[in-house]
Parts: sequence; C-alpha cells; structure tokens
Amino acid sequence: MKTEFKGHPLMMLRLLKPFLFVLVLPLLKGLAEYLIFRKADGILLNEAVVCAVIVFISVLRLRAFSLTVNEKSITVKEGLIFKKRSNIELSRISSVAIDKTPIDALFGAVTFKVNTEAGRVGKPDFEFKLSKKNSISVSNLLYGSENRSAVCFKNSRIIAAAALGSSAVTGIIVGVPIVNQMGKLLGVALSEMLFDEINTAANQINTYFPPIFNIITLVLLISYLFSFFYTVLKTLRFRLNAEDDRIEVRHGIIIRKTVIFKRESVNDVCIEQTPLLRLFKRYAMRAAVGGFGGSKKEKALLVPIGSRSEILQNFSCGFSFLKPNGRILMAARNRKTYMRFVRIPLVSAFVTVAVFSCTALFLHHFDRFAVFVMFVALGFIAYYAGLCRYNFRYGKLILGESIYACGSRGFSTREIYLPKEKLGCIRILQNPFDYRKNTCRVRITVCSESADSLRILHLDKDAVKENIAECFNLE
Amino acid sequence: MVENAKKLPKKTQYLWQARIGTALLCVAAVTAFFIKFSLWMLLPTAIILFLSFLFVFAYLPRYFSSYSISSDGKAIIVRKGVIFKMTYIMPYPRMVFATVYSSPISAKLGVSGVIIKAARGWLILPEMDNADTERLVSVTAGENNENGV
Repeated sequence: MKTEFKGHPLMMLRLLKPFLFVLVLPLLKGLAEYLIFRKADGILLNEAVVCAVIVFISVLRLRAFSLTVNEKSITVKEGLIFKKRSNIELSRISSVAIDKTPIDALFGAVTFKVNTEAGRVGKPDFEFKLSKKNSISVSNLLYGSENRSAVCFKNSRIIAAAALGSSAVTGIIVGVPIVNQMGKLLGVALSEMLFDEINTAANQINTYFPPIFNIITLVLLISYLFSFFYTVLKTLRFRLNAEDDRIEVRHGIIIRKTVIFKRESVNDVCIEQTPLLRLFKRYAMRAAVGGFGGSKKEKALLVPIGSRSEILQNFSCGFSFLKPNGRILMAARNRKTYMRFVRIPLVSAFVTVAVFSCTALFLHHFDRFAVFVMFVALGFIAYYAGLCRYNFRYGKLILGESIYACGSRGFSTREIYLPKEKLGCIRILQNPFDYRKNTCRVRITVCSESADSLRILHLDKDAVKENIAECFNLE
Repeated sequence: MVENAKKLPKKTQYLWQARIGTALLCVAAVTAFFIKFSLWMLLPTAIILFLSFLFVFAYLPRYFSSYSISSDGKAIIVRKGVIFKMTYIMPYPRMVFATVYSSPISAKLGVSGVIIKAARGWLILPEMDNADTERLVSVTAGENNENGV
C-alpha cells in the first residue's frame, strides 16, 4: 500500500500567499490591461520575471514536501533550502481534520490538518493540501477503514440546534471582522453604512424607551441572525460515525469539515445547555480532544441537540466514563445553604433597583434610560439567580474511576465526564464565609491544552478531602 | 543519576559565529554607507564593529561551551548560559514530537538541529551531530528510552 504522499498542486497557492497582493494580483491586472487595452507600464516585464521566479520556487517547494506513513509514525518533510523533518508517533496524534472548500472541490483537493497536544491553541500542527484520494488513504492508514454506518442528524434538528445555540455575542465576534474585511476589499466604509441603516430603521420605531434601546435591540437581533446563519452553514449535513475505535464527525455546507480521532484521544466529554437550550430542555454534547486544530476550544461537537437520556444511552457503551461511580458530593440540602447560593443575585437585584430608582428620581432627563438599563440588568440577574438555583439543586461532584462534575459556567450549564487519568488538578478554595461552615469550593481542571474546568460550590470540606484521598490513594 | 552529558560539536560554534558575524557585518555595512553623508556615522559603525567582535569571538565560544545535553533515563536535561545560567528539564512522557531542521551548510558539515515539542512547551536545540539528533528523535518516538540521549 502506498505510504508516501505528495502535496496537491493547489498547495502552491498557500506557498504564493505572501506574494499574492503585492505581486501576483498586480501582475494579473497588468496582463489584463495589456491584453485589453494594449497598454503596458515599464515594470510589467520585471514583475513577470520576479513572479516566474517565485512560482518556480513554489513548484520546487511543493516537490520537496512529502508525507510518509508507516506502522509506528508519520514523517512530514518540507523545505527547499532550509529543510525540516518532523517525526510524530501515531499514538501522539490527537486528531486529523480534513477541510474541503468549493475551490478544493473543483480541483479534487482537501486541506489536511494533523493535530497533536503540542503546538499553539487554535492552530493545527501541520497543514497541507492533499488530493482527496490520498487524504482517504492517509486517514485509513492512521485510523483504520472508514465505517459506513453513520448517525445522520436531520437538518431540522440542526437548524433547531443552531437557533437555540446561537447568541448575539457570537454574531458580533464573528460578524464584525467579516464586515470590516468586506469593506476593505470593496473599498467602501461598509460598517458605517450598516450602522447608518440601523440608525434610520431604529428612529422609525416609536417606543417608550429611548432611541438607543431600538438601536441596541436591532444590533443584537442582526448579530443573533448572523450567528444563526453562520452556525447553520457550519453544522448542516451533520454526520457522526462513532463505532469501533474511530470517531468521525462531518458537517458543513460551503466548507465541508471532517474530523477524525480515536476514542482514547478524548480527554473529557461535556454535556452543555445554553440559555435557549435550557428553555426547551435540550442538550449539546462535545468531546474535548487534545490539540483539536483550528478551534480555540479543543472541542468536537458530537451531538448538536438531543435529550440527556438519549445522549447518555447512545454513548455510554463507547465512553465507559459516562457511567461514573463513587460517592456523590453535593451541597447540604437545607434552607441556609440555598440562601448562600442565591445571596449574590438577591443583593445585586436590591442594589440595582436602588441605584437606578435613585437615578431616575434625581436625573429626570435620564429616567427612561435608567428604567431601560434597570430592566435589562434585572433580566440578567433573574437568569443568574436561575443558574444559582440550578447549582443548588444539581451541582455535584463524583470522584471514582470516572469523574463527574455538574455545575454552571458563564451563562450555560455544564456536566463534565472524564476518566480519572485525564484529570489535571483539583483545587479546593475557601473564603471567609466558608471557614465558619467548614465548606469549600472545588474546581476540577482536565489535563489538556485548553483545559475544561468546572467549579462546584459549598461542598463539605472534610468529605471532599476524604473522597480525594480515597480516590487517589493519598494519606 | 545524570549520565552522558554531551557538549555541542565545535562545528556548531563556528557555524553560529559565521551566521551572527555576517549579520552584524551587514548592519555595520549599512551604517558605514552613511559615512559619506556624515563623518559622525564613523562612531556608531566603530561601536557596532567592536561589540560584534566581542560578541562573536568572546561571548559565543563561552556560550556554546557551556551548553550540555544529558539524560537521567526519565528526562532530557539541557544546561546553558554564560551570565545567566539556565537548566531545562523535559520529561520523556511529555514529549510529543520532534522536528529536525538543517540548512545547506549545516547539512554539509553533518550537523542538524532539533525542536522538541511538548504540550504547552518546546525545546530548541542547536545543531548537533546527525547521530545524536537521530537518537533524540527516536527517544521522542518512544524508542530507546532506557538508553536516553
């Protein structure tokens, strides 16, 4: 079987990328002008010569690249004058990702990314272009043959997951750079034009609240819609192969992404609920894989949306750590402990009402604005109080051969399942309020590059220490 | 117990003296070019040349002779430094993969460098004999862990 693979010719574009805007595009523009208008400036010939030299060097660099796969390791060779040779043991490879853009599909190529636990977060360790046939051969050599049976999620479920999982914040983070880049490419102040349109539309809506309320609402709505469409395009046609040792996830319409990894590469599994998912009692499941390339958080989405029982039932055979056993550590079930959980939102609500009521009373010009901000703040506090209540009812920690932690992080609820050997560290924290009650906060962190962590509040300190000692054979 | 402390070959020192010396000479040449506009440029040119001479012929030999790579069977230990002495310890289980790099001149001299990547860290080793480089790479690949470097 073929074990040495060469790069696809499309890889030359990546090698030419630094010179694209300063040399290649101006040369093409000059050539087009010459062909159409029969006009050429003096430097066209020089540009053509330099471009030819750079293309020649790119061809040589492409020929110098090779990927060799054998039983124990893979070897990546690259470089023309300054040569590099990287040797990676097969067991050290966390995952491989295969991306196919429309241009790749046109030329029969894919972008092949190899990830390990080393390297920078958000960037794959190795990235190159292979032909589609070679990428299948490489992934079969690394992970065994592709399993034909796949779990396909209906597009309606994917759209529901995108609707419930999207947020205005994500839309702003993703959308603003895209709008700015598009504006630069088109040579127009696109973001200013967009803002003017939003301002005009907001002024046409009459409400009790000040015009800024309409602008903020419109911006949040547009950002949410952007995040929704972006997520839909990213996750549509979702397929999951999770039989045997090989897990393969495919999703995306415009850019088709395939991620392949072994079960043993999974550091932990998270079952999460965003605020909207909580409304509909649905969950999303992600697996944290070390060095998951291209992603800021190294998480592979395994189930975009589903019920908790369905998720646990379908995956508990494949991931044995989804059945934790051990003593359950929870906060004490009494009213005093409950009040400790909801103390902060209650105090915040009281302070918010007091501050903004005074503002509205004494500064008449800002009374509507103060009322608007007060209602928004109370909305956030009410949701936070709901999360505190969730932490009281369901927050728990189980330490055994498998570790389980349930709590909340940010605006989402989270359950983490991991095998004991994947645990990074356990921190026990006490503040002055904890000393009196002999309680503590426990933070568990997974052993991985961008580690998952979760905090469980108001656990009995002696029980926690006893449990940790028993679980890890400490004196 | 630490065993097999290896020093870098003299070739590596000469290679880096040539590289850094050439780079500093280029900087001196740029400042020397401006002498035709102002004689005051003689001063910075002279200072750059003097400091370059000191760096290349006084500091670099001491730096490379202070460099030692050893193993205790469980980790690679690198010691280096002239004024500020540093010791790097990288345990074998934490090594993920190794990248060997070489230039045309270092390939002719029979030396190559290694970058060892670990989760949340890396270790860059300057050019060593090819045999030592290959041994390090095989250690990273999980072979010869008992023999070490």
